[in-house]
Amino acid sequence: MSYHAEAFQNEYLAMGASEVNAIVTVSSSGGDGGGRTAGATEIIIVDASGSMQAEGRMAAARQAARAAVECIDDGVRFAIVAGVSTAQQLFPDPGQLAVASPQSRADAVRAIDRLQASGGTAMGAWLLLAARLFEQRPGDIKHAILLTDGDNGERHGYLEGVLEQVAGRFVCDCRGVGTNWKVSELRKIATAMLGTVDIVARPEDLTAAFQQMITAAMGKTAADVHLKVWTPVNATVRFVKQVEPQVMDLTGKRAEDGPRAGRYPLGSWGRESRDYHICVDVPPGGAGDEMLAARVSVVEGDTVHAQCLVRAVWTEDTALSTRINRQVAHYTGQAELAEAIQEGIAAREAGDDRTATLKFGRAAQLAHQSGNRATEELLAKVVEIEDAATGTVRMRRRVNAADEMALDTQSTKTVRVGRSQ
Amino acid sequence: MGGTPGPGGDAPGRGGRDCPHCGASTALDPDGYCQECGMLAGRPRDHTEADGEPVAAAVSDRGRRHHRNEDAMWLAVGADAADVVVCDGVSSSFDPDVASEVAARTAGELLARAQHPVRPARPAADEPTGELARPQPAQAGPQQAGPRPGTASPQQARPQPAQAGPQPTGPQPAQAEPEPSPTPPEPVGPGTQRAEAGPHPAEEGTEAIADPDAPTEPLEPARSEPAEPALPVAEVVAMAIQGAGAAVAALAGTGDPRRAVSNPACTIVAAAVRGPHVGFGWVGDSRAYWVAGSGPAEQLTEDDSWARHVIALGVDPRVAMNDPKAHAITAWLGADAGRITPRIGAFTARVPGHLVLCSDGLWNYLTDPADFGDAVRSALRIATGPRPLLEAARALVAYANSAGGADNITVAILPVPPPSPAEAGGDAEPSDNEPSEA
Repeated sequence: MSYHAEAFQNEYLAMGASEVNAIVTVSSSGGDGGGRTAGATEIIIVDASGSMQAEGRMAAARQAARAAVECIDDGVRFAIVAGVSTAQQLFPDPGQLAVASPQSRADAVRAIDRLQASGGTAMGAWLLLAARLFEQRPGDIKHAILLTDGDNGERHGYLEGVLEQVAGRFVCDCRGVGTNWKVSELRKIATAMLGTVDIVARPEDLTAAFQQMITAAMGKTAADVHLKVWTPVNATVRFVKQVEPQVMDLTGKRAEDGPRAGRYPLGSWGRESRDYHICVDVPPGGAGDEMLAARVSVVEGDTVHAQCLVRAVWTEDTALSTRINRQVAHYTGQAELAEAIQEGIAAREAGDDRTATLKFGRAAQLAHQSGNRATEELLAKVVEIEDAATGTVRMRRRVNAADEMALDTQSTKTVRVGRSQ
Repeated sequence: MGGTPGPGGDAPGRGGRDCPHCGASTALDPDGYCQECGMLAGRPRDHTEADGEPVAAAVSDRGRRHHRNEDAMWLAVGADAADVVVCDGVSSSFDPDVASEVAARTAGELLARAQHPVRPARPAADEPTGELARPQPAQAGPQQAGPRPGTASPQQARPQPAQAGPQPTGPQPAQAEPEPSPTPPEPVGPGTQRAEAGPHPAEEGTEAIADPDAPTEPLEPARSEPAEPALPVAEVVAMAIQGAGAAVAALAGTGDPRRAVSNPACTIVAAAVRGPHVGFGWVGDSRAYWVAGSGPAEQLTEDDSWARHVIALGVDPRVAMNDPKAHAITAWLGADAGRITPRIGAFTARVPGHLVLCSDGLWNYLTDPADFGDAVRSALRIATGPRPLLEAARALVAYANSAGGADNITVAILPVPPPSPAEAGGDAEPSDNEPSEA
């Protein structure tokens, strides 16, 4: 698998400046011939709590799970977990993983047909069971799908404890069906598990959503990729964020790795490209000094796949130091966009329409400026955008709950900036 | 390493393993950054030296305020001959350091390959007297006759038996670049092809470089009294500068896409010395000076700069030079420069002196010609080691650095006429080149 890492930045800093920003683009050509360099294990967790009986959700979930199973490549290990008050393995036998084949897929489909809704929602327990199953396959590309339609019913703090325990052990994409679940709760899981979160408002759309997630998972060819960031003495990493395809703060996931270096988990990789925003505080240098502010490597185990340098050069020439790097500016804006939307939604829920209007106005402006059309369109369903350029918006009196949840889940989705400066 | 006269381009800090910034021992990465403090220890181009003793020497240095050296130089010396190029990257362009490096190398290689119409005067092999190889004019040199170095006649300047002598050895690059170029660019001058054939009577050589596109607008002194046979040397220099201009212009379409938006650009000053004959040319504000045994230095070039332009219009030079726009150049090499029309000049030295080429990193601290002349002579006087020219060039760089080092500094020093092989074999005392000081 061949990786490429490239840093985009304005390395010139004004005298006394100490903040160094760079966008690092990591791309991979995928495995040789598109093949995986490791085995793969897939676990599908379907909420089977009582509420799933409503609006034909259980039937839709069964159909989606069947479709997902059909997408699993031959040879891939898989299991299906039924999410009730406790976690129950639906297929294959408890504690086992099936090897995908026409026969095992047909057996799985028959098991799915028996799935009935009853009981409560215990996401922490579901994730723990998945983690135990994944344990059998060290080195595999590990991916899970979690489908739910409601709030977690476990005692406060339990889910957080589980996430701390299982974070980094597999990637989990989360989908909420209907509008009775909490975006913030699923986002918490997705963020901890390096996955995505999205709403599937209509049960009939579940099949397509599952197929898309499984297909993406089957495209991963490397299991556990990390970004290693070295910084010089007396420097601190302010943040490391994935900024494309979606905003995800990795700062807190740092694991120390040798002197002045730390690793940030990127999860599994296929033939794809992602952008990371790295911000480092360094001791200011003198005029003409050049410093290596960060050495950024893409690593898998002890293997360094690619490397790029983030530099700082102090200059008295303001023509150089005031140059704005388009990548950095663009993704700084995209991160602010996500924040503005989430703060706007929080303010609206708290009944603070004044703050909500301000935040949504800023969001409309940022989405418009950066050409993030998808987000702008979702925003327009929650507020009336009178003038996107100035950020003038009016709150809508009636907002469809699904639209607001879609805006919330999509807030972190970013668009890419052109490469030329 | 800067104090050790060593062969080739020196790169202080790079050879050592200790960090010069934080002192951490054996802490340098292969790419030159300290594994502790992250500071860049040095780049190969931060300080380079070209040792062409006793014919010429040149030093290029990053200075004190710039993060890299965007100047570049080329020096090639042969028997009684030298080619020298000094370029200064335009810092507002993208990759100016690449522009200067490409320009210096391209011009240098074109100079080295061109058949110069004036052969280095050389006594025949069976005339072993060094006396004949060097002119011994007792009368005042051109510099004392005012700004007319071209007035000296070739007959007065040099003995003629040279015409019967053996073909001169072509100039050889003398560690002028940290990395010698592996693939010379294609010659662009129409005269180059012919230049590779057979013996070259001066007339044919002159014809060979008669490029209709070649700018032939020499400076005032040369024009008023054509300095035959030095003028054809200058025309070769003009051709080399045009070739360098084409090479720099081509950079805009290569490498980083930002080059297309803000194309790499640089200045250039180049000179070819053949015996007492000197041809030079320039684009931008890098300069050539003639420094004789005494008196003010004579600035041979005329800056293509905003300051020069307004001074010509009558503005007080001190006011003009203090203007922020003073160093804005009005001509350069680069894709956006349009057709390159280098200005050229030529002269034949009647008394020994020194040709000095430099970037504005030096002359900006020595704007008074008298100061410049004194500084060069002083540097030569104190240079008493085995490599006096290199030491003198280092001393001038050190002077600019001690005065602030606000820009990259490049200096080349060439005694004219160059010491003949007879002298070259012996002790090349700087006083040889300064009879009036002796």
